[in-house]
Formats: sequence, C-alpha cells, structure tokens
Amino acid sequence: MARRSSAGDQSLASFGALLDAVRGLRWRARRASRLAVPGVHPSRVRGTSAEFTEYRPYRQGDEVRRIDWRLLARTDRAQIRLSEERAVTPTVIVLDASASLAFPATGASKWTLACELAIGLAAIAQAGGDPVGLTLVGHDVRVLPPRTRRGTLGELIRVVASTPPRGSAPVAPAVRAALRGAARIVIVSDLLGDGDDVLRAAAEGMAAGRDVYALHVVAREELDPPADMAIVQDPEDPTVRRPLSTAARAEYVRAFAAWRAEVARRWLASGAAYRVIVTGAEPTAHVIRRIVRDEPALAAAEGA
Amino acid sequence: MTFLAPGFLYAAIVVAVATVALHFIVAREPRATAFPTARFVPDSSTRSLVRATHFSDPWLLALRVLLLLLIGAALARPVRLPERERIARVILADRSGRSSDAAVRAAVRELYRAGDAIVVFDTVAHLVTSPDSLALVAAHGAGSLSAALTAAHAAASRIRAGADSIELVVVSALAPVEWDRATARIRGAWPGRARIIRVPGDTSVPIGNPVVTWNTAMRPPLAVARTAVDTIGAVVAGADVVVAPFPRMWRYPADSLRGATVVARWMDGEPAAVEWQSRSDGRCARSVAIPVDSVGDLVLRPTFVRLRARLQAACGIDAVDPSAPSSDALAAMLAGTGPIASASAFPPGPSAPSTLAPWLLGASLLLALVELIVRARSSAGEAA
Repeated sequence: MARRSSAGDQSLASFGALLDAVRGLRWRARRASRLAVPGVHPSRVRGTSAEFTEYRPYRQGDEVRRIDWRLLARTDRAQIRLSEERAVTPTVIVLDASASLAFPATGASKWTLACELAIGLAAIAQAGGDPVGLTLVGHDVRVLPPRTRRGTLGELIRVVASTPPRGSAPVAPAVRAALRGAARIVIVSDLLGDGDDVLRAAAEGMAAGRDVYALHVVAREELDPPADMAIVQDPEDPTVRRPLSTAARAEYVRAFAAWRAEVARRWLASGAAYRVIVTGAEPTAHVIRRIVRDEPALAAAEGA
Repeated sequence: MTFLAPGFLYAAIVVAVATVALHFIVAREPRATAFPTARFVPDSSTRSLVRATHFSDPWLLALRVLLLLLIGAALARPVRLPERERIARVILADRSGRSSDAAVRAAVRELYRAGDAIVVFDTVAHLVTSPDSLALVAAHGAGSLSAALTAAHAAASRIRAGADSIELVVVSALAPVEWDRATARIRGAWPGRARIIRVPGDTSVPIGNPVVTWNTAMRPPLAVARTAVDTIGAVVAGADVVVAPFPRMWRYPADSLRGATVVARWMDGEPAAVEWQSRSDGRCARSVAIPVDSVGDLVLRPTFVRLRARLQAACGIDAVDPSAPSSDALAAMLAGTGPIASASAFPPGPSAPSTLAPWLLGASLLLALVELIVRARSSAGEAA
C-alpha cells in the first residue's frame, strides 16, 4: 500500500509543473448544458436564481412561490420570474493509448503530450466544479466515470501513468459509451486507428447536444521523418513495412499532409473543436490555455 | 576418361562456385523502425541483400552444386580413352581392280592392330573399323590414291588420341592408273614417311580390245530403260568431260554392276558406261549408254572425240595418264622420307559419341526433381 502511494506521488510530481501552469484557468462550455445540477456553466434550464432573465405566464403545475406577487398586484397577471441557471458539465477525457502513441521511442513522444493534455484539461474541469472521468483505450479499455470528489485527479494520473501505450483497440466504442454520461467529451488521439468511426460517434454526440473536443496529436518526427529511418513499420499493423527512401520520403510528406488536411476539414465541418497539436511545438500549458479559451492554435503547432 | 567438350565442365564448375557464393548472400528483411504513419509511405519491396555467415540450407546447396556439375559433365561428353599405343597405323587398302583382292586382305589382316584405321579405296575411299569389313566395300573400281590419301588424313585425326605416332601404310599394287596429278601434292601433306606394301596386280582384270556396245537406238547390255527420259548436262570419263544436253534413256541397276567397272559417269555420278569381263570367252566387254544425236556438231567436238577414243580404247590401259610415274617411282614417291608422323601433327577429328552423357543427363533430371521437392519443403518450413 505504501509502495502504491509512493508511485502515485511520483506520478503527481511528474505533472506538477503542468498543474501549476494551468491553475486558475476556467473552461467554459461551448454549449448550454441540459443538466440542472448547479454549476458554473450556462444551463438551458431556466430556474429561480437571482440572475433575472424574463417573465413567463404561470401555468398549472408551476410552484406558487415562484409567482412574482408584486407584478401580480400591479398588473393583475400571474407571471413566473425566470432567471439564468448555471449547471455543471460532466467531462470525460477519451485518451487513445494505442501503440501508435508510443512514438518516438525517445524524447517527447505523442503519449507524453496526450497524457499532459488529458491531465491538464481534467484538472481545469475539476477546478471548475465539473465531474471529470477518463476512458483510456489501449490494449484494453479502462473507464473512470465522471466524479467531482477530491482525489479524482490523482486517480486519473495514477491510471495514466501506469498504462503503457500498446495494442490497437478501437476508440469509437469508447466515445459512444462516454457520450452517455458526459456533456463534454475530449478525444485525445492521433486518429490513425478508427478515425472515421470516431468522427461518426462524435457527430452523433454533437447532434445530441454534447460538446466535443478532438485533439489530434502528431509527432514532429511524423511530419519530418529522421534520415536514419530506412525501413518503417506500423506498430499497430506489422504487415505495413515499407522502405523510406528519399523519393518515398517526399511522397510520404505529401500524402500525410493531404490526409491531415482531409481529417481537419471533416472534423471542423462536423462542428467539433478540432485542433492539431504537434509534439515539442509549444509548451503543453500554452496549448491547454488556447484550448480552454477557444483561441486559434499557432500555425507551427498545427504542423503547417 | 576425358571430355570431348571440357569447356562445359569448366563452365559448370564456375556456376557451381557462384551458386555456393550466392548461398552466402541471402535476401532478408532489414530491421524496421516503428513509425505510426508508415501507411503513408509508398509501398515497395523492403527486402535487401545481406551476407550470411553460414549456409542456410546445406542440403539444397549440395543438390544444386551436384546438379550443375552433372549437367556440365554431361554436356562435356565424357569418353573413355583407349590405351595409348606408341604407334597406330592408317592402312590404305587398295580394293580397286588393279590389285589382288586376296593379297590385299591378307596383308591388311597381318598389319591390323586394335586402334588402327583402315581406309579402303577404289575410286572413292571408305573408313572401315576392322579387316572383316573389307569385303563389304565394293571392289573393282578404278583406284584413286589421291582419294585414299585424303581419307588417310581424316582417319589419322580420328585415331590420334590413342597413339603417340601414326604410320601410314599403303597396301596396293600401285598401278600407274591409280595416280593422278594431285597425288604427289596430297602425299606431301602427310607429315612423315609411309610404309609401302606392294601386292600383286589382279590378273582377272579384263585387258585387251573390248567388245564395245554403243548403239543409241537399242538398250545397252546391263542397262534398263528409265521410267522417264531426262536430260543431263555432261558426261565424264577420266579427265575428259563432254558438256552437252544428253537425253538419258537408260540406267544401270546396282545389281548389274557387280563385277563391272564404271568407265564413264554422268555429271550427277550415275554410271554412263561400264566394262566387265565376259564369263563366256573372258574378253572385255563395254556397255555405253551415252546417246549421240545425229544432228549437230557434237561428234566433231575435240572433247567428244577424246571421249569416244577413251571408250573404244583397249581395256586395262585406257585410263593411264601419259605423265603417270611407273609403279616403282610411285612407290618411292609415296614412301617419302623422315620419321613417322607424330599424332599431334593431325587436328582432332570427330569423336565417337559419349555413352555416359545420356546417363548423366538422366541423373541431372532426377536431381532437378529432388531439388524441386527439397526446395518446396524448405519454403513450406520457412512459411510455417
């Protein structure tokens, strides 16, 4: 037990600088919440808080105490006083932990960046009072449902830190499952697996009023492969094994750029908050700040 | 044991060595680097050649090397060499009508040893394998020493592998009629001396004034009518050639020429006139199947006049060139001087077919099938 606690402290320490950097940030929902649980985000539910919005005629079934008696005395009409409600936004981070994230093997990998994004955003959401959960899709699927209790973030960090990226499980089912209990979904993935299905599932969620963030993680080495890579192999599909010659390199860069452009076009067309994040292009805290403030990404950070 | 075409064996050895070398070079997949976006790299072969430190499949290699060597050995045509003699002989046996047939046979039987070559000649020369084959060659034609000497060169080339030296032995009566103007030059081409064994002349050869039957209107003796009359452009008798369009109406069947001598031939080699010794009175008879047109100047031409004189001349002395040497001078000229010819002085001749080659090819085919099976099993093992 003592060993487990020590490991957790070590994991927390590795994200400490990031958590310090994002402290104080607020992450407003892009859409009004349908939930009535009090929170900091605008809700579609009109309530009785002090922040007045409008009047509505009294209907049978309304609470009598919500009638504005002064207005009734002046106008002889029974009106209900409505006000802007605030609600919580349960947030689920769907973190792709497939083998393709473990690249490059040394230095700043996609997996490190994806973990920092997930933990940073989770910390901001939790600080805003939103329940935060994690669905980690790697060799197997681990689900931590959205919670607001203390220690949730530490639990998320421990799970992320103890899971090596491997396997090639589909992400789309995890997205669909997460959409059932969350108002905000953050998909952190390289979208190299079942990207089309993930987009389809996200589109279904957005149609149901969910807020979807798609964070497309790309390694700098994928944009400009190192010269010492003679033969390359897909870690999720060993049958894809190809020589990366000079001529092939140019063709690869062109094909990969075309694919990224197509993926971006389709995600943005769906209405999701999509952005490409390149490893090492910008400090992760800056990237997170842009995400929660809905600021456009730097051109370099998108691999342009 | 030697190889008639050793180049094939050398080539097979070179290819076998190359095969062994190639077994050290194997195509392998080089180490790959994990690259998540490898799918965007154009697809092409990733196999590369690397040097192996040991044989990947020694049995397959052994089979392939053996297969190559067998094919090379088969194409190289291995033959067994006879035991090498110090001296082999090329025996020129005169079976023309000018030499005693019995004396020639006896002399050849006495001379002949295994590894010798016998050239039997009359107007043409034949190479026979043993003295017993002498009787199979037609005799009684006019002898030609030039033809025999020419054939002797070919015979020497054929037996040169079995001896250090080759001796030329002429068994003949050496009648002057067997000499022609090319004989001395052809003899000079033989590199060494010759042994001359004079045999008695044939007394049965018809000599004297012949009974010449030359009637263009009637069928000549021994001849039969041709199924279709054709036209031939020339007739040859000794050194005389008459060029004219002769209609050929008769021909001499092969059976009718036994015991007869052809004295004139059409330009295609078919007999035009023959002579033989009559059994009834022993006189020389001559049958001429050369038609002469009564119209025209053919009979006035000098060539035809000489032909007519030759065909009407006495038997036995008609073909003798006036400039021919006497028998003794002819013997001296043929004997020559110097040592016996060395076998290496003759170019290699056509050799007997290799009896081992078909067996080697068969074994190669069998090995090729075995190699196919071994290779298939090896591939299946690799795939598993």
